[in-house]
Amino acid sequence: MNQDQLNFDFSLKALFFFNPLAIPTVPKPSEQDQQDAKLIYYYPQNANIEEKRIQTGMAEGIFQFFAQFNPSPNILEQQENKNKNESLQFQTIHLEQQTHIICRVKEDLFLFMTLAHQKIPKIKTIVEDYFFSECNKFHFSLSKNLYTNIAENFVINFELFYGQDLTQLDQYTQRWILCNARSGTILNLFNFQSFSLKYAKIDAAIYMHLQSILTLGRQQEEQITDFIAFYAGYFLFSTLPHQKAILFKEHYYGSGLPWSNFEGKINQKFPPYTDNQSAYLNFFNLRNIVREGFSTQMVYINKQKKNIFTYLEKQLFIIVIANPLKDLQNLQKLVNVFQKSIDKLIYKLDIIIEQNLRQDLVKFIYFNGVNLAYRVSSQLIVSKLSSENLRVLQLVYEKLNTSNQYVIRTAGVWFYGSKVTERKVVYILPANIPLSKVEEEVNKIADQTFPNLLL
Amino acid sequence: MNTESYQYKPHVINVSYQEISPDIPEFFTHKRHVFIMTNTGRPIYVRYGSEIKSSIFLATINAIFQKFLLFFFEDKEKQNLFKISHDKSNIYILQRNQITYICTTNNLQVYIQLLYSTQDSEFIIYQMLDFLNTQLISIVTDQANVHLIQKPNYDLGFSVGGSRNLLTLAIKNGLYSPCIAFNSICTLPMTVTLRSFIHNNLKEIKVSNVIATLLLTETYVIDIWRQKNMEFKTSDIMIIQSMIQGQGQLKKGENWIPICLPGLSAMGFVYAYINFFYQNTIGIVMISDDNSLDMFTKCKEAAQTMIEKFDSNKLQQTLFSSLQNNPITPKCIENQTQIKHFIVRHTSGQLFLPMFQAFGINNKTFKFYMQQYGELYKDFMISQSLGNQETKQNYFVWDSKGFGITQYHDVVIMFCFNELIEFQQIVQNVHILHKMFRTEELNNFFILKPS
Repeated sequence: MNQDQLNFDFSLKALFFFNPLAIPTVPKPSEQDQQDAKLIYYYPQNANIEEKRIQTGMAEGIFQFFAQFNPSPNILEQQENKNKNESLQFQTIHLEQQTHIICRVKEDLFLFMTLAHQKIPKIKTIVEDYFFSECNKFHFSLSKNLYTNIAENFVINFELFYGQDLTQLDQYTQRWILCNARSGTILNLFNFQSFSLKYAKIDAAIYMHLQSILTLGRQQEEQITDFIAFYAGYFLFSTLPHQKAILFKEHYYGSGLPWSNFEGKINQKFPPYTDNQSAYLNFFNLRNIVREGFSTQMVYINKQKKNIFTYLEKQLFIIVIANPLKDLQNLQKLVNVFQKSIDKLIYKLDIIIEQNLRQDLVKFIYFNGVNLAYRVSSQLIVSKLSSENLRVLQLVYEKLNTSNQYVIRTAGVWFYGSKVTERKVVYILPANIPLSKVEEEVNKIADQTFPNLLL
Repeated sequence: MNTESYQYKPHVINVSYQEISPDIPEFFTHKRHVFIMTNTGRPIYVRYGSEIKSSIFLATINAIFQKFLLFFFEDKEKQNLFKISHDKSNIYILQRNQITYICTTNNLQVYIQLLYSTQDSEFIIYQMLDFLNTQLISIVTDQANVHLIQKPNYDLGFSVGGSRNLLTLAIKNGLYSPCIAFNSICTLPMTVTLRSFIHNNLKEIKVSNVIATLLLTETYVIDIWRQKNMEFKTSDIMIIQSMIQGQGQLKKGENWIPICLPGLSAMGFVYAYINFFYQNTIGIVMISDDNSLDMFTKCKEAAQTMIEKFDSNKLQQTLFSSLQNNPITPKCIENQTQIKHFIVRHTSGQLFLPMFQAFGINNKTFKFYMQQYGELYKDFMISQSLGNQETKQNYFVWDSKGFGITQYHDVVIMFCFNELIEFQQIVQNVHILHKMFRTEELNNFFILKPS
């Protein structure tokens, strides 16, 4: 089998939430009542009811049973766990064509996902070498994190936009698939690994200009707590941690949606739900604040309910987050401030972004978990990263969690990975460069492109 | 380095854990626990504990697996379950025909004297389970699978009986020996002339109906002769070596025993003539499908002829020197300032291993090296199966912890360099290793002429 046949696409075969501690409320509950009480939500909803019940029971049983094999934390770890927030706990079950992920969100809330992998063609096996004949299977070539990332993405997005409101699960699940699918309901494992912000190369003057607009905006309404700003998909600024900013960016951007207020296209991706607007967030809802019946939309930051407003002008997109507002009057003043102040800013940003796009193509991929900015050089023989290259890139990225450097030559390219504190860079060069010269080539690129980043 | 640490130290395998049962929490938290059961959940072997006490536990596991494989009603195609990963523990599952092998591991951070943390290599675990299957089939033959198909409740554990220790040894060898991990024999390095001489002698004493003749020790293979067009699998050689390691009496006198070699014929037995000479250090093993007394006599005479030929050429001293000098410490490793260790695997399925024994108890440093080498080799194998043909010769990996792998013509070299050296020094060290194992030098390390 060659690399072109490897396929990291999958479809979501099933997704359900259950509460193992739930007790049926009916008097003299039957076994079915008990099972039904535990099941909170199941996708797809039209699945066979017996199948739903059995799977819920199985998931609970499996998680508890195999948790026995986990060593009890020692005293040091117990102390660490107390100090940290409760983190998600995962169990993954790998079969030939499916991977099941069980995520313990809380003691009384578990998520179960079944990913059905696209079928890989069978290759000729070498009977006496078991590993060689089996190593095209998913569980060998890919790391567990690629799967747990998917469940984690689902959970943290839900918590951000819906908090603890489990009644919204169905709309959310539909939208989550829609936003993340490449086509139809086919998703891709690597997509969830490479969520990131693209940074615009703005200078101090533009940065200060943006700050002054936002500061003026904040003065119009004292309940405003946070801003996030993007231009043409490039990240400009956020008062929230960047990991949260990524969630907002992916939520609005989805997959392939252009950064413009072309409503027809927006509605295609995010069909409006007139009876439940909180399920879908639209661009520029600040425009509608003067209309009757406008209802504010919510997000949940650090488990606190907040209002979220959006403003879109040409390609400048500003997200405004505020404590719950009783009175929306001041928001009109906010809109006025934006309308009056942003033209010059947009003009400058236009030039910057255009320069970004015309920038010399370089042979590197900058990949640090929050910033994916990749360029492929015309000098590189491999003009597009194949599935195998992507798999190796993900491997290098993971290895850099525990090593400061990781160098590999395979699949026609050199991957030279380097990490300094939290910054990771992976350089990709043609494989015909000899081992003795590869460091020299990498240093040339680093000196030219990152002279001040001490990489 | 203390040379005593280079000597072969057999694994301790006859410790009983019969008192351990699933009722006590310790049962679940062994660093590496191994279970073998039939596909219906009947226990065959449990590494820690007794099969009887574990039967309910294994039946439960099996029930879970079976339910899982039918998780979605409309999926008629049966799937194999490979791995369950829960936080710090992993459960690896290998199904071979009617038998299921399970290994549970706990990825605790274990700080050894060199302050490295060790984490189990998934690759090594699977290789161990596969070898365990080979060993089990060698004990009960593949007839066991036939019986299990006809009678799913067939009690295979009873047939294993007194060979339990061989399974425990297979686990230990599987977990720690590079031979099992890389599916290779460990050949004794020697000069080309000596190798030729030994090989010619083996060839000369060939007996009709002998499929293969091996000259070996518990840990090294000195030479192999095979019948023309006959393939003798690496795993079978390791089964033989394992058997010799586990049953000390085979090194005394002459033995004529039935043995099932799954690579040759998994359904039945062949016969092995085993004779250890030169103070029970070097053995000649002749494999035949003829179990007559006449065959034994012919093997005995052939072995005697060979030993006399060796004696007349004073080979005993030469072979003793070779054995005592091995495992060698090559000059490039002596100071360990740059190159700390390496393993070389030849495409024909042979290993060169400096400094450590290929079998038996090794120190924690080597265990740590093996975990790293295992992962490197796994990534290499995956790339080989997924990559395009023209890129297969260029494979190279290095990380800043000092470990790496380089493919060079017919060998793959896994190495450990000092982590503090510069990249250019790494390049130089790689060239040193390439030079040491360039094609014209390989005869010193491996048995390369077709037998």
